[in-house]
Amino acid sequence: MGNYLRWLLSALFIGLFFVFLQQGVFGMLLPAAAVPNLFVGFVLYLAFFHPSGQGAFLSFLLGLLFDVSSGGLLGPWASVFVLSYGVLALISDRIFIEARFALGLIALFVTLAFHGLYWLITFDVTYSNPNRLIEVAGQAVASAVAAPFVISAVQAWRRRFISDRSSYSRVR
Amino acid sequence: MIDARPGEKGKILTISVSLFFIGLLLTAYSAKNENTTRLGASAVQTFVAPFEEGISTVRRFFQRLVDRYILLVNVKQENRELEQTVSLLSEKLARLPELEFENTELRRILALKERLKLEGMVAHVIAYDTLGGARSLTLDLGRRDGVRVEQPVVRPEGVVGRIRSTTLTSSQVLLLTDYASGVDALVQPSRARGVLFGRGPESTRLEFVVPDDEVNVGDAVITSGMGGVYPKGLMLGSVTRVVKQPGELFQDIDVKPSADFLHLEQVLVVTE
Repeated sequence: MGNYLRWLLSALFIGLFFVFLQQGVFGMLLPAAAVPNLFVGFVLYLAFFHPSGQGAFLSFLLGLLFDVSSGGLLGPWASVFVLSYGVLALISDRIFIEARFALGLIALFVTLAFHGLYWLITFDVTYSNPNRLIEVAGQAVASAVAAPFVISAVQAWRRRFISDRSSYSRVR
Repeated sequence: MIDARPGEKGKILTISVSLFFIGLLLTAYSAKNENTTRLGASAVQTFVAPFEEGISTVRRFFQRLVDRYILLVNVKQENRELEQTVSLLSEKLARLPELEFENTELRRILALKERLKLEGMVAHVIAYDTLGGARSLTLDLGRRDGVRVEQPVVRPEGVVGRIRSTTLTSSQVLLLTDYASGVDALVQPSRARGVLFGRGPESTRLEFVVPDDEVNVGDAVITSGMGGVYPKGLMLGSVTRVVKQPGELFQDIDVKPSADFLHLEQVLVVTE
């Protein structure tokens, strides 16, 4: 099995695990406003550590997975993820994410941008409800807190199971 | 952090934008064909559901644990309340015979009031003057309630005594048996007249009864109505001993008071 294919499958598996964590564990134990969007961390990881065409494709697939798991339309989250990924990957060399706080801050804005883009694509009426906006704000904060851990976890996973010989990127 | 290779940025941009539009197309397509979403959702659900079920089971377990704990706390609280209720009911139950007794007594006193057409107030005995063997007692009514000195104090069985002194909230009764007590009396049925004097805790003596008057043991002694203190016809007691000494001016007559002075609880203070 090729390294990229292995990474792709791994990423999808991690995505499924995130779906389970988000919907199964956090969704049951925490109030909706405190459930982090773990995919934000994953997209950040891809944008900052794998800025490539493959990363964009992976983000798209993760978005599709998110769409499918949310049971709504197929495609809006994929669009949101890939567009966010593209923008972040383009400016990744100008943003320093070594500090957890900076990473958290970016995750916060990315989560809000996710929802903003999603609303622009779908015109979801639920966003007109103030409770929904509070929920989104809460999720943004929770995602900001979770993002550094998600990135560390995905990094550890990748180091353990995927070798970087075929990476198209170079280490700065 | 890793930077994109030179030239890679354009590729990323192109792919991202392309995929973005593909996403939009997919969105538009799935908006018209709901089955596409449903199929994918059920596939993910198939994967996630068993885990969710496991989580749900664990959650339910903890929820039950919490519920039971809270329930136990409630049970403890309920137990405390029930204990208080039981204590309260026990107290009430203990008071029930007492209330029953008091009720009977009050009814008897009321009947006496009606029978003798007396106006008065029911008073509770709150203290015995044990000095010299209960010859006076204290009532819970005083001047504030309309009790005045010399008012008679009676029971359905008979006369208890008269008010000797009053305070604002209490009054003292001079019992029939007190040495200072003297009541103008009649012996039934002979109508022999005399004065009943107190002689100590349990007895009185009828004096000034002339030898010609017929008095027998067991005869009832009642108030004569003379003297302005006691109304006529109130039971005082019964004759227990009659001695006629030759040459004496009066008979020597012992009378056992009708009222039980050592067990008085409620009495009627006659106001009119």
